[in-house]
Amino acid sequence: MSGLRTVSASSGNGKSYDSIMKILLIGDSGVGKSCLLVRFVEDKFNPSFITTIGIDFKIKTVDINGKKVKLQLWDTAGQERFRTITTAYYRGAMGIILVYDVTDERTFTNIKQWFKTVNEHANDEAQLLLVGNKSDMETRVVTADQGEALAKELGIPFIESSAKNDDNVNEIFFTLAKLIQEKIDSNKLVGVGNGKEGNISINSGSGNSSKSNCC
Amino acid sequence: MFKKSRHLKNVSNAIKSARVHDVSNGINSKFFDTKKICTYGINGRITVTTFDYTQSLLAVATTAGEIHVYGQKQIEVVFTLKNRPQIKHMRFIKGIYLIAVDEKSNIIVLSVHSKQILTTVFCPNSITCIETDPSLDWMLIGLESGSILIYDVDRNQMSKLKIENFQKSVFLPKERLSPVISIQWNPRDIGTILISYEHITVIYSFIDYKVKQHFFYQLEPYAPGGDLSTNIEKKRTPKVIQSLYHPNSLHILTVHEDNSLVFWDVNSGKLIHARSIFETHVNFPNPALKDCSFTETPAIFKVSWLCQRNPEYTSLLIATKATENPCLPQEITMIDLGGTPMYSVTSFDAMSKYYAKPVQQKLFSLIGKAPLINFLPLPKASPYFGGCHDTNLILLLLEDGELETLIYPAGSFSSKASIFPRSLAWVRPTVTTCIAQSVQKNLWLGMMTIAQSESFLKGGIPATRNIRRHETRSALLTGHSNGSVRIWDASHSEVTDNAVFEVNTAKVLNRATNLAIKNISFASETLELAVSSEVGDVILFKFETNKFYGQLPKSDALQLKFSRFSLDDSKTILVDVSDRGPTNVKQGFIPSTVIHAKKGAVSAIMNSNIGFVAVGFIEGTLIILDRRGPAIIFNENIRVISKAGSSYVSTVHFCVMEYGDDGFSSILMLCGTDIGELMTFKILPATNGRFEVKFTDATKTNNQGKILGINSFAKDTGYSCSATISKMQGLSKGIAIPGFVTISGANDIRLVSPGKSKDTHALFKYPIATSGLSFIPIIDGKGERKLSTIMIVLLINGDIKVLTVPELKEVKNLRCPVPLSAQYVENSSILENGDIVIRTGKFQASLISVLNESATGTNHTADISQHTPIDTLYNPDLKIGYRPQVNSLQWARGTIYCTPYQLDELLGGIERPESKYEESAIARGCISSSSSNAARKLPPGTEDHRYARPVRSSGRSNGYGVLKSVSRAIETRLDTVETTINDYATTMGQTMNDAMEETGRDMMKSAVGF
Repeated sequence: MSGLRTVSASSGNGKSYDSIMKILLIGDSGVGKSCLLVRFVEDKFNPSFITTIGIDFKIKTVDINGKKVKLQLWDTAGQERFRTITTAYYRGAMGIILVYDVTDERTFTNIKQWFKTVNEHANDEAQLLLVGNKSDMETRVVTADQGEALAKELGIPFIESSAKNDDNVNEIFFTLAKLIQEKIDSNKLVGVGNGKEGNISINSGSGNSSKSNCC
Repeated sequence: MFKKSRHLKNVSNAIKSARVHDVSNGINSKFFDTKKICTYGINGRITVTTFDYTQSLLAVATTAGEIHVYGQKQIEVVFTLKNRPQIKHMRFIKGIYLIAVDEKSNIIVLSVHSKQILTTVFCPNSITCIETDPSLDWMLIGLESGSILIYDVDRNQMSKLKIENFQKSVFLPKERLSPVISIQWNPRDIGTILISYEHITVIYSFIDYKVKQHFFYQLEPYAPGGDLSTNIEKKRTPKVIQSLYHPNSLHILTVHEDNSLVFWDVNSGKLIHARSIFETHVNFPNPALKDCSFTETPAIFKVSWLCQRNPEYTSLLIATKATENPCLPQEITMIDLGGTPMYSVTSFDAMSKYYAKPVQQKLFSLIGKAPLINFLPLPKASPYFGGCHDTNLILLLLEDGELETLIYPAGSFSSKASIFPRSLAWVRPTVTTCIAQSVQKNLWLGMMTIAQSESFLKGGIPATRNIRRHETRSALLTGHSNGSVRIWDASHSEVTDNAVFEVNTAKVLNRATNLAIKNISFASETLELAVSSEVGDVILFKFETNKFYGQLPKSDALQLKFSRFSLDDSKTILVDVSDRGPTNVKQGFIPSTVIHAKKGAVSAIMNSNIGFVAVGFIEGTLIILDRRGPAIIFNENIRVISKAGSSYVSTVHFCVMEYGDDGFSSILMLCGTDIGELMTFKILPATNGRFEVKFTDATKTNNQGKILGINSFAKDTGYSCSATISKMQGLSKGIAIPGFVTISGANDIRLVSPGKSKDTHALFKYPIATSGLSFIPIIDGKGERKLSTIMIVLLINGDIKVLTVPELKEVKNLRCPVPLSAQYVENSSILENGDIVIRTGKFQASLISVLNESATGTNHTADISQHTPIDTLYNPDLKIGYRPQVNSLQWARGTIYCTPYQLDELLGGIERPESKYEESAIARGCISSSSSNAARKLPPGTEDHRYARPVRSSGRSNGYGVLKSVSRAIETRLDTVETTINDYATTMGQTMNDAMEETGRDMMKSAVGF
């Protein structure tokens, strides 16, 4: 009874990962933020409209250029009434995905407003990505070119996707993760030598989005 | 005239005109006396809350040393404790005792039955934590010294058994002396308890008098732990802050100050999994994480292990402390663990994975609210499992005393008022403004019969109270910080239900912030309501049948449009919001229009009884709206019109009377300004069928400060000249009604004849809090029934002046029987029947009467000396359910089952004395001794307090009534369809949210069956 049994863990059992990235999904209500996330993390799709209340939180570990990256994915409520609340969560985000609905002109024009809010509340280094969702729909009113043009104007990358058909969903998250990784790496290169052992590869490749695999 | 009156003190000018007669009808001082009728709200700030499932009572303790116990309808019993003790812990025991522990470590035992304090026990050592069980007499008291005392609540004595500080005596003798951090009874075995000290957690058995298992959490160097900001390169043992059992008692969770959440196996003592809110496997060294950016996380201060009706389906609710850092918003986290894997067939690895990969994880943000200090789940299934058995409502207690109601697991906040008694509505959420108003009796009672009155609490039986007979009823309207407005009957317990009408401007405006209600105006004859938010949006409601009642949104597209609504998208000042009402209210206050003027905060708002709404803005603009249309018929800045240099309109009054020597009556709109100027407008029919507003005159009538109130009455009869539809219709007859207007300034009251003369003037030594006209029926010396019009003035020093009109002569000076608070007293209102609603504090108001009803001769039954009766709280017919036990596997593993009787013997000894309390015998019959009647509570015996439990798909039920059956129906469905268990939380969340948030979509689905 008197002996104290300690139960600390042994290391090296493969539970570790190389870095964490906090990624936020924002955009008007109903554009499909939760659907994109559920498709990416659980590979499921539910066509009915369920409003997100508060913030849903999911984790997925992915492989980016041979490094295990743990993605902390924050799915925010798009409803107008929650907007001021969700902005408080922008600051810690390393990546922010702005989502609009290609079948709804207004969600597209509102992207500028979302972009402005992001600039006001997020870290300057946060990597942004524009996503036009519901690309499978025949009732499309925003063309891919329009999306591309807006992305160019805002100076951020652009992807069209469909959570329903699982088109380009993984690409969204992998592209963003890679861009963040590159940013981290380039900061490391120019950074003031906060001499840590290089847990993140300096030579990590760029661009090629769909090669990486989930684990 | 103005200058002259400055020299006058508390006297009035005589009126020279011979035409005038005393409409107070010679009322004299003996008609007046003050009496407190009732109190609404809470004195002080709530610091502790507790709930008894069996009796269905909720208790709250306040900083004023009061304990309020609430039940169904308006049931409320207030215990006022001596010396204002600050209560730290509070628990119900066996439904009949209420235990409160104050900060000086006194244990106060109250009887719910006799509503008396039974005893106060002083504990010699400082109490750090307590544990009780709803079915047991025993209270476990954790001390600063690390030992545990056991108090026999029923017999008022300490047990001979004292549990030593095991961390000191057995495990870590070299460590600093640790207090007891946490104690929890095993949810399935009363013979064992879980005790945490700073570094070690143990399971102690009363049967063996020894420690059965211990748990020690240590982090190797570079194991991140829950919080990376600690010294990661060293070995650490993060202190325990709480420990709790899984509802099946096979696992435990220890919560550590570094935010580690560590799951352990009880039988083997093995660590199953260590995680934090966001990270998993935090006990494994990971040198790569040294420069991780997730260094700062708010500290966890409380975790509850919630379970559904089937206690194997569990979730964790985790509260974190508020920080100064704006990047770390305050929130509550839900980790939905889902159904627990079968213990006997699941490996440790699989269990670890189970805790690492929850079904769902969600953050409920508390941004913009005061720091959270505690939360209380309200169980629906049983009093056991730490009060966490099947909960859909969680009460959040905030540092400023406010209560929030979290709908779980949906995550939205409900402010639905009727679920708790009216007093709690003052803190749920904070009242930002309130007004009281007289309403015609028949209209009001008719309206109140269809108000919502569904209560979450079911306990208690209301005491019978005397009914005061009046021609009018009093309506109390409270505006709240979250944008809701509630309309109550102000007379205590005369309308026994907690009937309340509620409007939610957050839903109408589709906004979550800047919603605090600043101004309310209620047209009591046309049942129209106008309210303004703190940023100056004015929302108009009308009592009517809801044409959208029960309608499902036709498509997702429409629903989307609804959820994307924003006022700023509108280019016009008037925004139609008639489709934004709740679809689950059949009849009630339905939104019609928002005045989105973008002029900043509102200074005055008046919804007249003739369809005109006046809105004054601090910036000077005055907007008049005709609700027929609706159309803006006037929109100008009064700074341009004012002759005396007024900046804004501070009050508006609509009346029908003769202006000057017109020879006919007109609709007059009288506006008082910030510097004591009276601006008169006429509202006249225009050629296009509309109305037009014509400025007529402006005079400075009052000495200084802003005008607080304007009233009017007819010179001949004393009847009110306030504009009503019938008076408006009478205009066509061309009859001139000469009248007086009373104008209350900061320190003075002026009586004028509009367009003619300034007449009487009364000055007061102290500033006026509120004033108004009352119309008192009296029986005069000849036995004739007469109406006496009087002016009642409440001054901020607590003087109540009763003045005759039109002479403004003081008939009586009374002292207010309740203490006033200068900050809130402006929210007080004089009612037409001689009552005054006085807001006495942030969370409290009182209804007082200044009339001696036996003297006025109108109410012979009134007995002033009678004491206010006290409600009954305890119902002896309610049985406490059977406490859950270990499963057969645990039993086979050797857990000795301990009965309550055996526990009594273990703790109390064989010669445990008889109890001195009558409560003991009453409560003895209330414990179910076998599991046969554990499934449900026995229905109470008397018809008075029998209530029907909602059943699944109970046909068509209206409004909120089906709320409970909704969740129940889903549960029933899911119990049978286990494969869809993953969708459970989503479906359930959505449904609860719809039901409470007035969308009513899925609720309808459930009402017609899934």
